Amino acid sequence: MIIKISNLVKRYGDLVALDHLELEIRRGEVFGLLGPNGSGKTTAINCILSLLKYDKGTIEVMGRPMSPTAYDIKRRIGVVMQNVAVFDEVTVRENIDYFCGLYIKDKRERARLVDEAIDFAELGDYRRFYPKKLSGGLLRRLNIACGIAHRPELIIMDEPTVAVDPQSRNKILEGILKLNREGATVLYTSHYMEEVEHICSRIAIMDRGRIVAMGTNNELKAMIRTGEIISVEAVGLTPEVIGHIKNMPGINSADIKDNMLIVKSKRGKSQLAAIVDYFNSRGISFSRMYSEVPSLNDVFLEITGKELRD
Amino acid sequence: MFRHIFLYNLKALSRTKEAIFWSLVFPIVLSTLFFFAFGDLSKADSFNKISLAVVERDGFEKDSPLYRALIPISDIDGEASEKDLFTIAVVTEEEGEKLLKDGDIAGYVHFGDRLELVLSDNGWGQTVTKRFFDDFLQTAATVENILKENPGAIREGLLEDVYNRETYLYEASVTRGTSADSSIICYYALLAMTCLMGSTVSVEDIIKLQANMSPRAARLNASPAPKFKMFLYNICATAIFQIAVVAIVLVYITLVLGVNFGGRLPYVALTLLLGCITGLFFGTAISVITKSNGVKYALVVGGTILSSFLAGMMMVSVKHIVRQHLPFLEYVSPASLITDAFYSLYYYDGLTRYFGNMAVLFVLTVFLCAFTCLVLRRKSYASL
Repeated sequence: MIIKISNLVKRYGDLVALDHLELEIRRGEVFGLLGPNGSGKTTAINCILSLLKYDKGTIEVMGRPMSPTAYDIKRRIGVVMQNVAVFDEVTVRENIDYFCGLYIKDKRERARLVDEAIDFAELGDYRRFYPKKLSGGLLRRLNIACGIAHRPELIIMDEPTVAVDPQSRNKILEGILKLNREGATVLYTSHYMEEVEHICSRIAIMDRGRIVAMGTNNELKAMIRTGEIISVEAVGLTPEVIGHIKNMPGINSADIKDNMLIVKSKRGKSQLAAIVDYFNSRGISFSRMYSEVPSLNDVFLEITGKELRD
Repeated sequence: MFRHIFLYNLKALSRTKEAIFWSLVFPIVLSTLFFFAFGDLSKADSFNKISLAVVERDGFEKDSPLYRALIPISDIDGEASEKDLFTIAVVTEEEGEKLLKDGDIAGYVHFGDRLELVLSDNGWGQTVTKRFFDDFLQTAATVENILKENPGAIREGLLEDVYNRETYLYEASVTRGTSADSSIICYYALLAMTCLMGSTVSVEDIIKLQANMSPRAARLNASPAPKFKMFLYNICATAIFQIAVVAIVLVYITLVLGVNFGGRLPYVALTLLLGCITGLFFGTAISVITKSNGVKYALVVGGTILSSFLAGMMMVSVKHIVRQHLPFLEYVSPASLITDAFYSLYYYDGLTRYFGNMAVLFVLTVFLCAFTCLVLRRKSYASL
């Protein structure tokens, strides 16, 4: 295990931010910590980095207890903060060099690593720019470059794509996968389920300071009753029709949401054909009908009773 | 690691416009304003000759004893010397009245059957003139009496006694013979303020290291560089920056503005060196006790202004009030100690008082540094 958290409790006055958190992250994986804002993701990361005091529990990183003075462990960790953490008074290259220099003493090696980080973040055209001159997406890429330039074994990324344009986001996600292929373990927090689904080999879903579910993408989706979600756009969807659909075999629920009929069916056989047959038998015409597998949001919704983006 | 952090901090500081402005540009502008505003202050102490007029009366006035007494101490017809008390013009009565009315002369003299001195309103020139004339007439009357009543007394040296003027005032300089120039005190105050301006720069050294202050500080705390070492390396760079800035201001004041600090420039430099370091730790000590950035700056700027106020930079009388009623404040106010060190260099021949101030300033600096380190050493935070 590269990170092992046992029974971690962190309180802010009466608020329990981390409620007996248990977490194990394996070496070589991209581990996603998914949860809505305020679920305790950033608090957990700050505790792992020993930036925050906690009330109870233990944290081990790379097999050893983590502490503020565990400099040999810190040397092997890269951190990408949620907010951009760079110096405004020095250029893009100087920023990366400064942070890399806190980990790497050899000047030549550092110069090579800084150039690699610039290439990785595709900041070559901006190396002499000051951060104030960069767009939001470029700033995020600089933020990441500063955190990974020293080639850490463990990279902790706290919502690195917040307020980033789609193009930059894709580049960042591709970069994270590349780092992982090159041997880095990544702990990635986000409240964007699509990102987590896309890059993470294992995912933990957090809510109110606790892990409510953990596993691979498929394992998480297998934990819930819903096996299929059918969406129908049609005219004449009366309460009677919805009641009939609800009572069909293999159907969990049927509700109108945003002028669409959302039918959730149980795991197993697809109910799409049965619903089409029912609409035809009743002479109800529909303009669109499609079937999806459940998302992590559905997993979160079924477990906690609320949406991830609430 | 030292070189890396030190050089980057120095580089960042040299590119920070606010730091450059408040630490360098502002004192230079202020000293230039001082130069133009107070440049004539010392001239105010110099003596200006008193303008008088003598009403011409067919040369008769030149036979007057008073006129002859005026010649050696007056600039008449362009024969000027530095010891002259009066500048005298020979005019007609009408011209004399006009000059008096226009305020061009302190008064004019009629040498006739009866000596007549016409003066304008009150003024030191008028007072000196009247005192001179009274003294002359009194002496002349005394001599006349002696000649009339007891001519033999002249042989006994009584006339020399009458002429002799005993001075009961003794003028002594405690500044090793340097002439007093009150404008230098303004420059001392300015230099003390420049030292303390470093406190606003050193606040940033704390902000960038407290993980609960910014994401950048959190990132630095997550790095393998010990916080205490980073603080020391950063503060070294800030100290070099501040000392360089103060040195530039000192060079500007001495070489460009031509202000003469006497032969005590090395002591002035030593005071500035320690003053800069005190200023830096004054800023760090205040900023470690509070979390909000705005409050940090408000306390540091407020503290600097308060310290300067107590030191009498705005009203000299405050310094005396503090010394009389709250003397302990002088020992905890950096500006008071710095300015007092300067004043003791300026006013006293010996260096005992100067080194006393420097010793207290040093102890205060060590205390502020220790306090900063003690609070800053906290390793992790209750909240970020």
